[in-house]
Amino acid sequence: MASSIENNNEKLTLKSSDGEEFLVEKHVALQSTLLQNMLDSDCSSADVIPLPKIDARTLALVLGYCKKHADASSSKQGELNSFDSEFLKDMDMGALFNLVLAANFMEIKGLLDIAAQKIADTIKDKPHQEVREIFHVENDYTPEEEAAVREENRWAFEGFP
Amino acid sequence: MDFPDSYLNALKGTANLSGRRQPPSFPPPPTSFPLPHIPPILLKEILSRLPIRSLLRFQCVCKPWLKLISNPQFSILFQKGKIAIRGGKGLLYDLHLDFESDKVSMVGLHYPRRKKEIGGTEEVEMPQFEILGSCKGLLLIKHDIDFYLWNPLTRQCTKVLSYPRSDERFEYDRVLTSSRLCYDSVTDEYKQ
Repeated sequence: MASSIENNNEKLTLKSSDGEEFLVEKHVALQSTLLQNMLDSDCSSADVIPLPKIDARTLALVLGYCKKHADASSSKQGELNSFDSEFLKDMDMGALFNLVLAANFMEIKGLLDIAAQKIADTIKDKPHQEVREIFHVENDYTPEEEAAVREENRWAFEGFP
Repeated sequence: MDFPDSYLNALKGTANLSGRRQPPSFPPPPTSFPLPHIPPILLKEILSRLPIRSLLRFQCVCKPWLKLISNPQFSILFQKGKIAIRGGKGLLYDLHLDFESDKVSMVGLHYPRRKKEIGGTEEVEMPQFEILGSCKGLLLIKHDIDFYLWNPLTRQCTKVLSYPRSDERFEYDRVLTSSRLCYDSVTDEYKQ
């Protein structure tokens, strides 16, 4: 980080659920509506802002996204789009779920959009039994009930177990 | 969001997560995060981005998912996703609704390379019905002389209008091309 930027830019400190502190430039933090509202109110940037729902690993990802989007000019939408897809490319489901939760909590609309879309794209062609496992959902149907719901939508199951 | 101690310890043991630092400009892809519980509001956020064919299958995941997916409010959320419809002769069509440009693009699932845009200024010839417009997930469909409102998500269909076939003075085509669907958010009503 160039020292000139460091001197000119206000910074604030975010603290993750597991106690890690992150020093963040203000313009990067403003990508989050939650932080923006906190800064607009009486919250001083000298304070450490706790984010009790977000662990350090996820927060590092979130701030990487925010930095890229804060630093890019609006004319570089194409570049941001390719950053976004590269950013999510090899992410596993756990990381994506954590990102969705963090983006929702910190109110970062763009990140919520791309992470939720990525999850949807990943599960859309999976059998429902596998989706059940991914979301840790307990099957509360009796075999007869499940067969009845399935029968109603038989065409949607063509080619699926 | 609660994590077991074992996870937190594992996190602390991994790499350079200690001390104050700058966020990396491009963090390396993480491996094996534990899966947290997704609250219903975020589940909606994810499911509303699925194609309808996946949604119909995922009604079988569990009863709460069935309830969520078949809730009429959900179809209002379901604005920009793809929907699959069953056309004449059992053909499947996958429609992509883009409400920002008021375009609907259609891909015949049995003919995946054929893609054409309908809606907006263009209309499409379909074997047994025409789609005249779409609004917040509902489609306005003409079949012969009848007009239907169709919610592809719940697969509920309501006949809204029928033109008399015998009236030759009626400027049939002109009326058809000006039929559109809109939504009145004040009264929560759809209007043709």
